[in-house]
Amino acid sequence: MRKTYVIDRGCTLCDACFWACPEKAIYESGGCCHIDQEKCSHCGVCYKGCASEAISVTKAEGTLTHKGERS
Amino acid sequence: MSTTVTEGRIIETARELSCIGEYDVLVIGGGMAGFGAALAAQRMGCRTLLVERESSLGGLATIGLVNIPLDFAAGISKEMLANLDAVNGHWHRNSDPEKHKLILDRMISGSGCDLLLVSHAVDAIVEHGVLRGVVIESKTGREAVLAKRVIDASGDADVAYFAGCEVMKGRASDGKHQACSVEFRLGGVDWDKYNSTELKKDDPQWVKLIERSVASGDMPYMIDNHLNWVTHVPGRPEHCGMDEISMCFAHSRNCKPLEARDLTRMYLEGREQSDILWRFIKKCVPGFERSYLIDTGTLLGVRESRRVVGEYVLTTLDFARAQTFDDTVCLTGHHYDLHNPDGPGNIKWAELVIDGKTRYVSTHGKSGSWPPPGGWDVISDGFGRTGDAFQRKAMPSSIPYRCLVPAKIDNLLVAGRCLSTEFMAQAGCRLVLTCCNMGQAVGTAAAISLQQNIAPRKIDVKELQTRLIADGCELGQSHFQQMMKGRA
Repeated sequence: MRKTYVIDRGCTLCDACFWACPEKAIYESGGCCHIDQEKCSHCGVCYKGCASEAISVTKAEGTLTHKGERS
Repeated sequence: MSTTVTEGRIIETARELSCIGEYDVLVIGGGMAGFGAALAAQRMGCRTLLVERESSLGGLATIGLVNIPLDFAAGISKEMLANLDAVNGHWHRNSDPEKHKLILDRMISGSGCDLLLVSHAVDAIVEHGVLRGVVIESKTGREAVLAKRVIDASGDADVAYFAGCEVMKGRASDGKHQACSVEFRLGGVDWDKYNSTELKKDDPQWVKLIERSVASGDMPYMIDNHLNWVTHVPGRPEHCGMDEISMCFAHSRNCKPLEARDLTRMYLEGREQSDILWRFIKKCVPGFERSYLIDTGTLLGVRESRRVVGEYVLTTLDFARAQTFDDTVCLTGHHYDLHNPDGPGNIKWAELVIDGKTRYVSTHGKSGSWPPPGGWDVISDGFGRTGDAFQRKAMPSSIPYRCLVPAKIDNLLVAGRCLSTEFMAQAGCRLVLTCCNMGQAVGTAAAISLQQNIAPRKIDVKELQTRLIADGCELGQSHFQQMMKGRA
């Protein structure tokens, strides 16, 4: 199953994900970065590079896991 | 008796000051920059004193109610957000200003750093071009603090100015400063209801509402033509069943942020505007029907006042081009963020000459309240490209160490909004986390210069960068590695 990435927590608008994203799928709206799911290639570069650990990823069952809660 | 009147002239009598201590590092200003600087220096083993003029740490991020810790979370700033997270004090892009104060208190006290609140820096102690300490003033009167290194994180470059450093002020064309703002908090907000409205989705809806409301009289005059930001203070719904928000909407223009008379005007104006804006929002914005004004920021949101002239002055074009430097110590992803000095709205482009042609440069595209002369279509990137050729800034902008080292006086470093930049470049280098990150850089630099017994301007910057990276700071290393992997 493909992983889905969502920016849903603690975005500090540093734009690290914007610059990292190879698909240019990141956009800003309502004071927070978002991922355009149509453009996203599910590579996870944004998730690994997020300076604020603001990106969640779906696991096999579709539950969201926050990066900061994994370890 | 220390002041007398002699032949109609008011004469302050010379007197010897008592010295309250001698420190390795003295940090003036306990806002985000001073916090980062003091913590970094103390952790590097320096005996450090942090002096703050208000009653708590955090400056605009706490008592200024600017509860949006934006930009790169790295090193001390990342640790601070993690501590806030642990007490449910940070969510989305918002922080709880009260919890933030306590976290800063605990981090500073826990490090062993000495702290002195409610004390102003009023003079610099300079001997043969070398800064030896600072004169502070408090309820106790005037006293001296001596230090081997001083970090000016006053925001207004107070120490640098008193020490005789050259400073820049305001816009080059007319000397005007950015608008200043009083933030305010509203309680009793139905956030879900507000979130479901069109108004929440994008700023132009607020722009239209404000236009209509000024025409109908619901807003007595155009305080601003857009809502700058609204943040949801985390944690509150658990306590009162309704939400709390902070807003940046009340602004003073034509500001003189270095004059007490005009600061007084701005505080009074900001509180009157907050009351006006609350009434307008309560009447006109869904979700705010039961809202009430909790408080206004007790620290005025000054965005720019004095900027020190450093070993290097970061140019507006450097910022737009994301120019990299051998001595980069801090990154910022922000854009030109100028709050209009003399009218409503904000201006997010800079007039620059590129290859002999006048260009209206933006890092992020067609944003801000006002288009440049010629309209939005003339917006260019930092390389003069317009229209379809325009490219958003490809990397974060870099802040070199030399922008934090005053050109003239030794033993002095600066951090925060008074860094050495041109006017529009400064407008992008003043976010909460940017200031904290700059602070960590100079606190670490001060410690290294003491370890090696050389002036801060002469330290090996590679050694500083290596230490900052080891301490978790973001100088581009992880970002660029990630970018390369992503594009491989």
